Amino acid sequence: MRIRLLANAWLPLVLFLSAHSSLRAVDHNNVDAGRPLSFDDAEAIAFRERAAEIGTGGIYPKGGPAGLAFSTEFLYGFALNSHLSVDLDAAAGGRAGTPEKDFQVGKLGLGLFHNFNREYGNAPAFSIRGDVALPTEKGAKGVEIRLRGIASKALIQYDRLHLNLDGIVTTAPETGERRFRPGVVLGYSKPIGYPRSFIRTGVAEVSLQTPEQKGTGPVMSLGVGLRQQVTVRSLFDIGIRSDVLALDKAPHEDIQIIAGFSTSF
Amino acid sequence: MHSLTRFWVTLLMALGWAFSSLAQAQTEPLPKREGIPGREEAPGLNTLPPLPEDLPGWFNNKGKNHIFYKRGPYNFDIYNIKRLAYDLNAVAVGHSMAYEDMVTGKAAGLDTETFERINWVLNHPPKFMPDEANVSPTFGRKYGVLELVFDWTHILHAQTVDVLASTKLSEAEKDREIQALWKFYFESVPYAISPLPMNMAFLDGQPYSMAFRNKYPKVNGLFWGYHWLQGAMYDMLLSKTLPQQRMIYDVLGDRYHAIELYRTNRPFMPMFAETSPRFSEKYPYIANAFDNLHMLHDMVNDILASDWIPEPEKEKQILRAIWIASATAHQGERPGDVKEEGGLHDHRHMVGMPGMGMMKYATEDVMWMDNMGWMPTGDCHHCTMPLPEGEEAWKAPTVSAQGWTMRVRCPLCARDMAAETKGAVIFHIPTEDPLKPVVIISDEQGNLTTDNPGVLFLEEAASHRKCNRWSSAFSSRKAFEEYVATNPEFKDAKPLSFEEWAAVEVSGKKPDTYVKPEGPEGNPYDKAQDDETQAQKEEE
Amino acid sequence: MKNRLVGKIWLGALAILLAFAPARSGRAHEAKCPHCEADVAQDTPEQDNEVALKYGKKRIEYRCVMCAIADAEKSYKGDLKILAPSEKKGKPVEISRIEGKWSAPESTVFIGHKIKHRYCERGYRAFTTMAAFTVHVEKNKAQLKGAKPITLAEIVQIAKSDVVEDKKEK
Repeated sequence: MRIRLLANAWLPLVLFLSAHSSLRAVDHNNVDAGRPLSFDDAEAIAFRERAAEIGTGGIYPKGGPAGLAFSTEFLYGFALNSHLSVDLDAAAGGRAGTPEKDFQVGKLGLGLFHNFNREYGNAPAFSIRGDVALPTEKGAKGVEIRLRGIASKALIQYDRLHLNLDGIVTTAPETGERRFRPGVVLGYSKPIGYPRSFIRTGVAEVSLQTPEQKGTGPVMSLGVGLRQQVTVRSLFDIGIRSDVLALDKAPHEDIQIIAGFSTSF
Repeated sequence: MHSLTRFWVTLLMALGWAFSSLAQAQTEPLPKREGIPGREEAPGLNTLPPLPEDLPGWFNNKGKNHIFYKRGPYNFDIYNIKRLAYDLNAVAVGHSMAYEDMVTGKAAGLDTETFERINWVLNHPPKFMPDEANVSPTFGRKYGVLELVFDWTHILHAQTVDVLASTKLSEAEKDREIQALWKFYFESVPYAISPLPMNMAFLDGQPYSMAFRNKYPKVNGLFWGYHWLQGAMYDMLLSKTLPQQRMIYDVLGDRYHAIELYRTNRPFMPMFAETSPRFSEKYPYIANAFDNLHMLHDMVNDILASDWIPEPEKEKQILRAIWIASATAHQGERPGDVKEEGGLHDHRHMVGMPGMGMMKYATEDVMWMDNMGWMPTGDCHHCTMPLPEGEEAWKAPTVSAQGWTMRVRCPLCARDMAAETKGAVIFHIPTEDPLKPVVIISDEQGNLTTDNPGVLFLEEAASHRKCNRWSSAFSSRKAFEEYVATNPEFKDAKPLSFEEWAAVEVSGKKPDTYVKPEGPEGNPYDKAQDDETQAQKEEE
Repeated sequence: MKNRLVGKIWLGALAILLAFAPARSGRAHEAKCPHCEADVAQDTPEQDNEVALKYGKKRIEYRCVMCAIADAEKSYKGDLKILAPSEKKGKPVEISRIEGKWSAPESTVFIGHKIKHRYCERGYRAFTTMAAFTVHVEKNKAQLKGAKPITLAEIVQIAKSDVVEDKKEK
């Protein structure tokens, strides 16, 4: 069982999208996985908030043809500091870690996010999210479960660091695939333009992920992106990621360009 | 151990150590202590009232606890009046920037660098509402509960304005939705602000009171300037068509940017009932909550600006200020209740103004207004006759000029008062139909224009004892004739067109009913005059 | 029975007294002077004090003639009139500014004696004759000792310099 984000086995986070507004302001500074990078910050969407997101990306896998990825997600703040999510992704063309090139609808993901505390004093904000990817993909078996622990902490004043620790369990791994895969992402966010502009946040990350295939080493990726408010209720985001280090023949992508749109209602 | 596993274990340990070190190392920057030249001796710490012992659990809340705003077709309709919407967006950064600077050791630059920064945004307003929490992250980490209280009431502010600016709702629907918004605000969380009138002398009589305005008059002027806008806009929007709202904001917005933001001589923060008396009369609980919120802002400013209060005590005093302003502290109490006169549980309001608590140095029926002196709150500001109340309150015209909005008793009182007041003036003149008020704008020379040139007036001048009967506006000839038919004393009256009515020049005579209001004995405003008079007598 | 009757008589008398009692000294429309922000000095039975500036259809009251001229210079463009109380009750001196030029009736003289703003209705006034000026100075000699009569042009100049001072203070 795999979570295929952007239909890519080694990039398990990108499609866990969420954009949310903080109260009345659409908050470009509350960073969510997939929009556009892979890390989450430790904030849930507001209670009773609904958010919808779409995204697309161009993928350039190492040694293969280019491909396209699509993603959609719906989120609902069902309780204070907690939200549910439903997501579905699709891909066409080349992608890393699989010879598949046809258009393919991916797995249906269900997620639950809970924030334990806001950042106060010197204590980071802590959250946990759990995701289950159902085998809706053609030929898929079992489910893939991911637990992610998230801590967000101010670095200086407006800069924030976001540490995401992942553990992914596949209930029915295929031959040669790992059952458990750890991962870590260290994200960074900073509003850009203060104190004269209040509409965009720059994001960056470094991540280490374990590929599905046994015998391959971890893949290290770097990414940068921008989230910008475009209407009173919506954001546009754009990002670029690259697998800069792939040990032991791990499948990886030279470059990935991501763009998305999020709105809350 | 497998090499990959070893790699992950080592990495995670390293990251855990780095993150926890970051948490320990990043202590809050201590604000610099600043001396205040010529400052009077600071009150002793023993003057600070203690924090109540039985504070509810939410005072210790560590959750983010965001709640989404109430859904409705009206949300963001303030953008119908784009200029106002943008100005309100800019307002969002003012307090946040100042709070952030005060808790990060930059208080010394508050009236210079911070002022310039806020002022720049106010004059280059953002197209979208900035998130205040993003502007003041250090403040939020320290005073998260306060931020929660502010944010929640700011949502009510924004949504009530959206409803009033909406073109999708009828007046009746707007009224219902505003009440629903209040219910949503008040019942969804335990940390709503009190809707009761509060004694402003008590709120502004704490050991730390007035520290901020004395120390940082310019930046305080900006805050009170946009609190003025936040108040004044409600009467501008209430019961008006979109063209009327835009027409009024052309005048109001100019004044806001040219004058109100830069005033440093206000004796007190602008109150809702001073700037939007009609809204305050109709929704006193909302007006009171907004005044109490603004007072909480002032109290927090004063606490943070009081160098003589040590940091841990500041945190306690801010919690106490939240408690004072919260609905929780006043459960079971009602408007008009006085458990302790002049204290925390004094919920009297000014006469004729259920949406305004007792003002500083005021009696119940007269308050000091800047540039106006003592003004009666329940009487016409022109002829001193009593204003309509309750169900009839909508029948009082209002005159907005020089930063105030005053209720008067009849269209003639409004016109004369406007003619005797310098600068542009906005009139709200009700007709026989509550849904068809007339908006009249006076330019600097007293030339009047209206959005409804078809309006007719009855003006059969006599004693002001009955001016509300002999001076009236009507939306149509039919309405005029019906009024005359039911009031035979006016059977020979001819309706005046707007042009005829607007051409009448002010005589300069005082209304026969006019009585000069007097302030209470020993108030500081009159005392200053008395002292000078005494000195002069001695001189002579 | 007798007590009741006496009571009724008293009540009646009180009601009549209240009905005919004059309103408190008619400092009507308590707007402060737009220039100096002190109370607008009200007319008394003996003397007019209210200065009115007529600008279009506006009629704005000032504390003294100097305040009115100063504010005219500071705040108003275009033609205007100032009705400055004179020594004659109900007969103000009409000062005009037309196309930027100030004018007043030929025999008008002014007093422009520096005095606290609180008493400026005494220190800054218009008079229809020189004789009236002399009477006024004599009557208020404690405050106006050494005061000299000045022309309209001179009081306009004083008012202009007051505007400059006012701006400096701000």
